[in-house]
Amino acid sequence: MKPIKQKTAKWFIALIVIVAVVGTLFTFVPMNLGGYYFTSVVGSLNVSSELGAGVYAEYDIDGKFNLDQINRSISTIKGVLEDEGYPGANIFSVNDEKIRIEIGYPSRSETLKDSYSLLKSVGVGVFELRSSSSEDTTYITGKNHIKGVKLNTYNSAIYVVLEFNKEGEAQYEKLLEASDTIYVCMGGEVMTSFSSSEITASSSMPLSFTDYNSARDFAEKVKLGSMEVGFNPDTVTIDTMSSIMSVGALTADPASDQFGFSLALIMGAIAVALVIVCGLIYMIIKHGVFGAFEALALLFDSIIAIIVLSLFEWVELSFSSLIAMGVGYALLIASSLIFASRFEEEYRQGKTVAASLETGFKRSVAGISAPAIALTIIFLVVALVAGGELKVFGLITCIFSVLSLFSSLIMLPGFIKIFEAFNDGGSKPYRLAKREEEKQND
Amino acid sequence: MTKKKSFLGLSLIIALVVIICAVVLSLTVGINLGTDIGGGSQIEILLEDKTNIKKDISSVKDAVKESGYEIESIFTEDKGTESYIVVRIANKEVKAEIRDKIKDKLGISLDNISGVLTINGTVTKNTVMWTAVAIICLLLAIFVGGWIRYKLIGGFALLFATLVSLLLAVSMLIITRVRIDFTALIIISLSVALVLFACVYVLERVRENAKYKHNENLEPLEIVKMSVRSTLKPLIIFAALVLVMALVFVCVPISEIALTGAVLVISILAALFSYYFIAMEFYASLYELRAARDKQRLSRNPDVFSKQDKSKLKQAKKDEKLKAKKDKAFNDKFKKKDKDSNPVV
Repeated sequence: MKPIKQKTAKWFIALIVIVAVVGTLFTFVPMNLGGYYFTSVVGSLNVSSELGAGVYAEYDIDGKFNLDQINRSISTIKGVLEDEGYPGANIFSVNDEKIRIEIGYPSRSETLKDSYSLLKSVGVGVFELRSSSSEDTTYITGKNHIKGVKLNTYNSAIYVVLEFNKEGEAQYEKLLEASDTIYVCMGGEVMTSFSSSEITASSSMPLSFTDYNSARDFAEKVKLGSMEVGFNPDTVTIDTMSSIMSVGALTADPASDQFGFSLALIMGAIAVALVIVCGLIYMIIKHGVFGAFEALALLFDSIIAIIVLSLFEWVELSFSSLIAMGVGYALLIASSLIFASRFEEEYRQGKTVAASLETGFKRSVAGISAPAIALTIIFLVVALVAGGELKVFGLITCIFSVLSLFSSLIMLPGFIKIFEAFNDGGSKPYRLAKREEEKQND
Repeated sequence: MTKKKSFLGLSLIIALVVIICAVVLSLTVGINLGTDIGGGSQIEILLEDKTNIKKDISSVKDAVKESGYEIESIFTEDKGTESYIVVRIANKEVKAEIRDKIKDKLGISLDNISGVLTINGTVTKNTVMWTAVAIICLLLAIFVGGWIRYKLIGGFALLFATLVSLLLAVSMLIITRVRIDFTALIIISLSVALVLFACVYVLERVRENAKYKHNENLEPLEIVKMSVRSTLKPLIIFAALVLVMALVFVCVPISEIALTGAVLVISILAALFSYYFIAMEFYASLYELRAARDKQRLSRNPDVFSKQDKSKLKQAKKDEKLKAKKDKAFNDKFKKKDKDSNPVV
């Protein structure tokens, strides 16, 4: 930790203050900027139905299916919802007669429209390819003949490729022989039709689209229409629900003031705040300025964590996310304590403050990096491989593990270095215990 | 120097007893699973009067409690112009008589109360299988990572610590009959991460302390104990802060949150026990065993050196050869000078 000059330190202080003020404003404070209402970065994070109100959808299952078939269909729906940015969706079957989906109430009005539209498309009904608009001329059904749906781009054109199983291949050949026009139907209704005169029979059928979004929409509808379980598209219910974790006057009415109020969110935020406050109080009492600078480091860590989380549109905060944040802040404080206590150890051995900071920092690098890197790798794997709540939890813990490295090895030592430019090696600000020789001299 | 008593044996017995009790309990009474894992029951109650929802919810809670069941969650939902109170119970065998109790408490018609609907959990056999595979891969990865960085004993210690903390946390939750839902499983994984953090931190310290010259004469057990002592403070603070969060949750008047707090407390305590009484004691024993084995090997065959000693010996031999060469060159030069100045007649 090389010392820096006071002039340089002053420039750093100015920079830190500017970044802290601007960062805090944009991250935590909603603002009205010349007619454009900016909800703040933290306000744009989505919350699940545990922490806020939600939207639910119920679909009546058309026909008799066993539990395995229902579960496989639920997995398909879960996959589609995850791709669309709803990894925390709660999906389960009710009485083996219905499938129910619960998602968090979106924070933005445009996303609410998308949510409703997506939930509607889940109950779209069976996907069929026919030689005419009549039901009797169905040759291919999603659940019996389609084994996969892919999105491909070729020569700047976007294709949805329907892959047929063996039976589907044979049916496809028959369909092409039967008619020059293929009718694409969902839930019994004709969606579109196209000429098949130039198509040759094969194990897949590419359908071209003009833009990526409509191609993706169609691909998802085909996947949903190819599930083993079919739904009755006329009896789909989509509506609002209150928070699951709350007490008192619960309401599912979006116009109400109480809609979205969740005690879980408030208590979670209080718990996280208490973790931060208790940790900082301990550090300030035991380690003086280390505690004060740790507070500043935590502010920057919070800003970075919230900004990074907001970059992932699919992130939906649930109760386990709040727990992950609480543990993340505890990890940040513990990592900084490793440096602070190592510094104190070196000072007790008789070194000066500057020398203690230097050796304390060098010797604490391994102790801070190794556990933080281990946790980062493990939770990065969880975030990449897992789904739903676990994915968000893994991402949050991974972010905080990386931040613990950044905070304890760069930010905190940096702030201490700036402080030392003015402190001139005094030990009082660090609330260091008197060494043996100092006690004897006294 | 008197040897400190090791608690490893006693701790392992306690851990084994807890795990066996949990296994017996899960086979006899069963595990208390949440609706998201094990499924449950759902009852929907039509609200005729939406002005007193708070009172209605309180009455429904009393009715369910009097029927001998525990509510997992209660919320309201809209269906067009109608509003419903939805009750979820983590029990698939809820009797239909509960409808009568709710009807009496709320003073409404039985037609306004749905039948007891069965909810199926979202965890399938596939999920369980893949989770088991993931846990095994994680344990292997931890073992290999620990072996690379801290030698075989470090790898074993990390593997053992992770496995014991995982089994202990799950066992204690089963024994205390706390509801195990998805959030509980996430908390268990957090406690395992805490143990991993603590063990890696201590192993780094042991690695560092073992290198210092002034620790050369210390016994291996003393190095480990010294490292554990010097790393205790940040770990205690970490655990204490997480416990603070857990205690806030325990005090919340929502059963799901309070239970989550309880799960967090139990998991942290299991993690602390696994780390301090089992993992570190186990590592210290392995460390001592390895040191004793090295000593025995050296005393039987003093020519058998460790890798480090071998390289030191090689370097010493090289230095000796170089010195001999330099001396020879110097002597030859000196002899030549002597010859030139004192020619032989």
